[in-house]
Amino acid sequence: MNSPFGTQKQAGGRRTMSSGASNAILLLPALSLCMIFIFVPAMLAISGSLYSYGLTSPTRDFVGLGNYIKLVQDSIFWVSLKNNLIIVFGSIVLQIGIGCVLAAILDRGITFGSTFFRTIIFMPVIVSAVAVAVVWLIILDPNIGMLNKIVQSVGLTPPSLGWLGDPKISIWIVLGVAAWQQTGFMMVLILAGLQGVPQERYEAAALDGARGLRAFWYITLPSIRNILIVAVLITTIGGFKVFDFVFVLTKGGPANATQVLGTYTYLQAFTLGNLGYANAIAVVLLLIAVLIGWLQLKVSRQA
Amino acid sequence: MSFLEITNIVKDYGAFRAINDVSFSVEEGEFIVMVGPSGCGKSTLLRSLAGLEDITSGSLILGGRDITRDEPADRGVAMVFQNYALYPHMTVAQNMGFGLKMAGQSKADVKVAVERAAKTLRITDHLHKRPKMLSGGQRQRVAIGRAITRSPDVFLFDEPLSNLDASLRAQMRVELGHLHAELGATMIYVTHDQVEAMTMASRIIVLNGGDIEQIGTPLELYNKPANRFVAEFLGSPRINLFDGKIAAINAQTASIKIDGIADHLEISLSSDSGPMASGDKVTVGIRPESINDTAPWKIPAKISVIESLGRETLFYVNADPVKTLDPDAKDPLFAVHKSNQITAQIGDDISLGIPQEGVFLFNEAGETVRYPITQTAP
Repeated sequence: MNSPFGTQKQAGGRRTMSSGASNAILLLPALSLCMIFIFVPAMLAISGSLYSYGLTSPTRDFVGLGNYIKLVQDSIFWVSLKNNLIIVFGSIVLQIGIGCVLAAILDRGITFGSTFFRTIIFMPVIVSAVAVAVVWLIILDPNIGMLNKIVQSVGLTPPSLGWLGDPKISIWIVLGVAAWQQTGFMMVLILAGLQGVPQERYEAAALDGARGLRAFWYITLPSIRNILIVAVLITTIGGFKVFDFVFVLTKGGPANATQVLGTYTYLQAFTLGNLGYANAIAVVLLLIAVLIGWLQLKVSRQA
Repeated sequence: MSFLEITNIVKDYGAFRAINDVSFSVEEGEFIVMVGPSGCGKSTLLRSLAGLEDITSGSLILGGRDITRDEPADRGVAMVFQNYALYPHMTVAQNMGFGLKMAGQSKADVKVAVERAAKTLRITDHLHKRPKMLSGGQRQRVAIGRAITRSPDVFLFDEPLSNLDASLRAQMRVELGHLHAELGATMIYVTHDQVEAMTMASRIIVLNGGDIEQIGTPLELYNKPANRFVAEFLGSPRINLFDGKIAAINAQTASIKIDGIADHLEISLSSDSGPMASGDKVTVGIRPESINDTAPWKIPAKISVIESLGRETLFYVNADPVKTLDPDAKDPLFAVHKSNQITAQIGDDISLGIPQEGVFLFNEAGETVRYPITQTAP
């Protein structure tokens, strides 16, 4: 066709094809990685959860939803889930609560040394969770640990079973160690939000009669609402998928007092050799993570 | 005693003095405009009045009450910010009623006050919207509405129109003028835009380097500037200034020698002329609109730039060897204003007729020693 319209159409068609092909090529690396490390393992876990088999079993017995029925009746699963919820809600209160207060102090409370304090508080975030847990393991050791000595030096008695050996307090100790590492991250996240609130907004509020706590409630919190929601979601996801702290500090003990879904999955898979059952626990964890991830995406888009 | 007494205000930031012993008073219902270049202390002074800056020394008395150390909300002032400073998470109505809510007023009272202010500002239809859904002009109205709702004794405006485009700024200037007349409120307005100052003010305060240069009505300041700074600051295009020297002087006349011009500029003196002596260096000033074709004393020049604005024409002309004293200009050109349409070409010769009636003289200290005699004093 010699008409200009024909020529245009051809050129347009070529552009679309090449743009489609280049999009596909650009997406390929990410998609391949997702496929290998997320989708395929997830599919294998879902299909594996329908069988009963061990690490070295030559065959797999199809049990349908049997593993899920067993799960519902398993008290340790419920203890693990409860512990996950304790870590989730405890982390929200500790990490976001303290992070918020620290961020507010660094943003408006102190006039010098804020960079120094910010760096110090953020430092644990860059250390691996395993290293943090090992350090705390030493601090909490009933024989050589620093904490026992500090408690004794102020005239108090440390727990006789040790900080991590007492089932009544061990989950709270794990929660505290996780908070020690992660609060710095929350502080930096919230601080970024606070620093994005224009000074004039606070000045207008001061003229309207809102200063101090009233300004924090009516101006600061609504201004960083979206960041707080994201912080809650990040903490929630972290609380459900927690493994490293618990594994290094207590391995889920004593008497499952710190067992969480992550360590319970590991226990069933690699200690007890129930891979099918471990897959079922992992699928439940996956469903929880997908639900929260969907919520996070939705909130992020709104923000 | 005046409605607002500002006495010996000093504001230091460490070793830097932002406001230097400033005193003035404001009568109830006045529209005071504070102008000056960036860093002159006008915004600092306004923020000190609002209580957003603690002053180093001095006192603020509003309606007979000492408010120097009062909290911002307790001073009886409301402020409109340059960037509006609206609360983005609140609706327009909530923004406007927030001050009253904080003051513990009932929901019904807040609603009445908000609706009344919204009606005044014609934003009733937007009360349920969030600020991000509004245009710049509407947001500024909401910011003004927030101030009105609190029924303050004094309204403070910190360059409220500088974020708006030129046409909206002109419209808002008129609206603010109407609002001032309608509310009869005392307003203090900070701007660096001398057009806003000239068009809206009952009185203008010109600030420079933390000091007050002059206080007066717009025409007083335009016609009788206390010094060269005020003369230069008010007027657009700015006043033409060039060097001269007093060749001869008596009680009635002075003869000014201008380098490069053979004839002396002869000007009459009057009782309000300042002290001058033969041989004194002076700065001669002439407003662009005062230059005409008929004055006998002329400076030959060539047109460099023509700005045809429809109802008026501005020429920027090179009067070499007479140079204007404009530190900001690359080429020191004379500005000439004609209040009609004139057809001319760049490079055309033009004679700048300097009528002696329109001449300002400033001494070496920058003080005005001779005012023009043609303008009608206010």
